[in-house]
Amino acid sequence: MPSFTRNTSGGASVSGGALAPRSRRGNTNQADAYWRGGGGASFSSEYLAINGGNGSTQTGIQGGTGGRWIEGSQTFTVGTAFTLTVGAANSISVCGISDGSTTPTGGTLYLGSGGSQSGNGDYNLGHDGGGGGGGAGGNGGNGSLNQGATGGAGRATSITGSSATYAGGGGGASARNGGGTSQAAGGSGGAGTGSNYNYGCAQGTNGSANTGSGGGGNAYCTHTTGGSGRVVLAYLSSNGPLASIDAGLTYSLSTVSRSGYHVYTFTGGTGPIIP
Amino acid sequence: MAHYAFLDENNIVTQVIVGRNENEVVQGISDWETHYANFRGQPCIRTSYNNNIRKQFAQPGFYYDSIRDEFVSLKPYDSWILDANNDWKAPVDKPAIETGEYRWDEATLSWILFYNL
Repeated sequence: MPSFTRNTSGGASVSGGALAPRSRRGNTNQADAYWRGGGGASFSSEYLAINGGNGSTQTGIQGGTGGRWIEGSQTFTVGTAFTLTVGAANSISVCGISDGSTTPTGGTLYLGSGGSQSGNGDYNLGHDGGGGGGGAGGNGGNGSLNQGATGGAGRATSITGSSATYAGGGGGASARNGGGTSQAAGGSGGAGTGSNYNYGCAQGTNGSANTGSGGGGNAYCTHTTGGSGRVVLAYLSSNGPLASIDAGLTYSLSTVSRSGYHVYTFTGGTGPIIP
Repeated sequence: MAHYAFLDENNIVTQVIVGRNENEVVQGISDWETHYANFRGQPCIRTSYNNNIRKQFAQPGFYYDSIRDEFVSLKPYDSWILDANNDWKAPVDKPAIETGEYRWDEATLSWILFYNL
């Protein structure tokens, strides 16, 4: 053990004891910073935060919008706590700074707009198909006579090393007694289909869990719920694993899915991580 | 996965998250409502995605009725009132028929029947 006094300013206690690597892992910024005298070292991480998707409301024929998608890079300071939150339906996911109340600045936001309902816009006349919900990769379509529109496409990401699509918009609601209409598909990325009413309900579906995709629109049926969100961090493996992850966070770590990177995927919880 | 709702000082839901299952033990922690509440400095109570507890799945803006231990949904129309079961009701009862569908019309404060959609 070195005899110098460590500078731990800016550090924080973590579960299991003081913030200290259990061993000096070879060639990691985290360990180097500790043995050099504590805080100050930093490194950059890519991040992706997808909110929980929106569902339809009790009175809304439009498909639910896919969750807000924000991606960018964030500087981690070794030893400084950083808050993550994974939002459920209609709730934000946060890849925040220290207190968890903010989202890193400088990120890029993707959020499609929902399509409009068709016809004269008077839903009470019952002749309007619901617009598709907006997806992170595109806007929802406009509803046509009695027929809901397909939801907006989700957006693809390769932050984990392989491509995946999330945050699609839900399909709009359809309604016509006597047939001729169908359930409008949700956008790519796990979005729900819209309902279709024909002397009875073909119920719309919810957005898939951890996709941030919207639920399908609802006309004369039961409302839907959006899918929960996710947060992903990816940074160079030379920085080593995170020093601490709060017990309330559910996550997975891959060191092989993307060559040379540590990739953390958070699918639940709220709490601090410490680089 | 379980879901948890955070409340403000007026018992209004500010955020819903996915979190640890209520019976899951991680690092000796099993009371996740308390764990999340302590971290955020906000009351936190569990809610069910499948509406199995506390009446219905909480959403931001919902009110938590601590006496009945239920979440109350957003008011759908200005004229509707909350009944004893924490359900929003129109000022006029919805007519009961076997075919067709009714939709509430706030402008006329009445139910409109659609026979042919």
